[in-house]
Amino acid sequence: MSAGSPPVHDAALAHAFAAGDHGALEDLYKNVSSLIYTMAVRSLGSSADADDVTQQTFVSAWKARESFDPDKGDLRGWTVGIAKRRIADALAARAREVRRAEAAQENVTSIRGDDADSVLLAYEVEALGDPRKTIIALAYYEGATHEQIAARLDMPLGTVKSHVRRSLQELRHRWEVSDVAS
Amino acid sequence: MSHLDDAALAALALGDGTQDDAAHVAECGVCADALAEYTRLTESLGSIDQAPRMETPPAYVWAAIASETAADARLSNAAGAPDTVGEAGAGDSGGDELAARRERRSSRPSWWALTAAAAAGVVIGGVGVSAVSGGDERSAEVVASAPLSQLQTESSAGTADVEVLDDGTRVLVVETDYDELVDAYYEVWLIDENIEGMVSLGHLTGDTTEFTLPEGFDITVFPIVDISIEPVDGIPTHSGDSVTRGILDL
Repeated sequence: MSAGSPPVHDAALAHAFAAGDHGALEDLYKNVSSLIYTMAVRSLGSSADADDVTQQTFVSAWKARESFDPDKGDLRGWTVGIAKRRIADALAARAREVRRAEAAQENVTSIRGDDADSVLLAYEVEALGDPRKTIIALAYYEGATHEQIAARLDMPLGTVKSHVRRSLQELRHRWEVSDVAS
Repeated sequence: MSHLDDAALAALALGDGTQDDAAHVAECGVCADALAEYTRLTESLGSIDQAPRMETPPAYVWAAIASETAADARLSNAAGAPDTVGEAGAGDSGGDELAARRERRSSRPSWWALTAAAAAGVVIGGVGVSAVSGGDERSAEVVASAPLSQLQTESSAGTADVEVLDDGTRVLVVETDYDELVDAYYEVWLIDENIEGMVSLGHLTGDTTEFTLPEGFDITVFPIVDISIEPVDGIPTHSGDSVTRGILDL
């Protein structure tokens, strides 16, 4: 899956998942496993640990499916929330090991935790779709001014500002979903 | 005083907010917190140099998830439809059903149970082994022996010996601690080294149970002695719930 894959907003999928349809788990995996795996790799720096986190996330999600309310929740955000906790657990376990070895590196782990957020945020930016993802990438990744973006995309300045504003609202909402999920 | 909406907050975070809204945030804790989230968001966005390349997990990750969850899936798909002999009768590959049955008793998972369950679809039928119980006095030569291990704890759990009786009959004598089960029984299997084929010898009846091996049956092909817990459900295949095992020294 590329970062541009459509997000899981599919209500039918969410309902099928909550109802215990195993095919829905597979679809969910196809949709968000790359995101979760990449978040885990970036946070943990180990593909073996990322394998574990990815596996644990989907198994946990499946086992907890009855606690997911498809009418209220967002399945992708909910699953990403589980992944975040699994990553945090793995980092905490590692921090305990490090402390045991009397070489505490708390700040290292917290910096790493931000990596997962960056991956998630970049994924959400992609999910905004065009033209918003391009505008946000230009504005933040490349640091272009709104005027420069307007010129580059041949778009009125007010339209660019409006897209940026709405994108921020959407991103903040997405962020909240996985932060408070389950 | 009402709070600012998201559009106003986002505009403020972008430096495009109105003076009135900015004045409101200066006095309102709720809106100040909300604005701080937008600010954090823009800072996080600014810290990204480029979209990270998404990586795909290896295929075995999904395989592991599928095997851990398939059992459960089968259960919910079959909700309200109790198992029947017909459903899992001869010719049924039974993989999902086995996994489902294992899952019901998943309090003691083991790699062995997983492997055995995966293999259980290829149970060899019709070998015609028969079990005889009891310990008649007679001379016998032990030709192979397997120390048995309790799979959950890896602790010693008795022995399984292949003996040749005076008349040439070969028997497998299983000595292991026997506990009565409720609605289930212990079944003894011989399994090949690839865990691809297996033969049921019968069920345990006590601390010592003897099973007569059919003439011509090649135990070197099936050197693994396996004891499983089988629910009394009429389904002839391995439940996937192995509790004890040992390998015959052939």
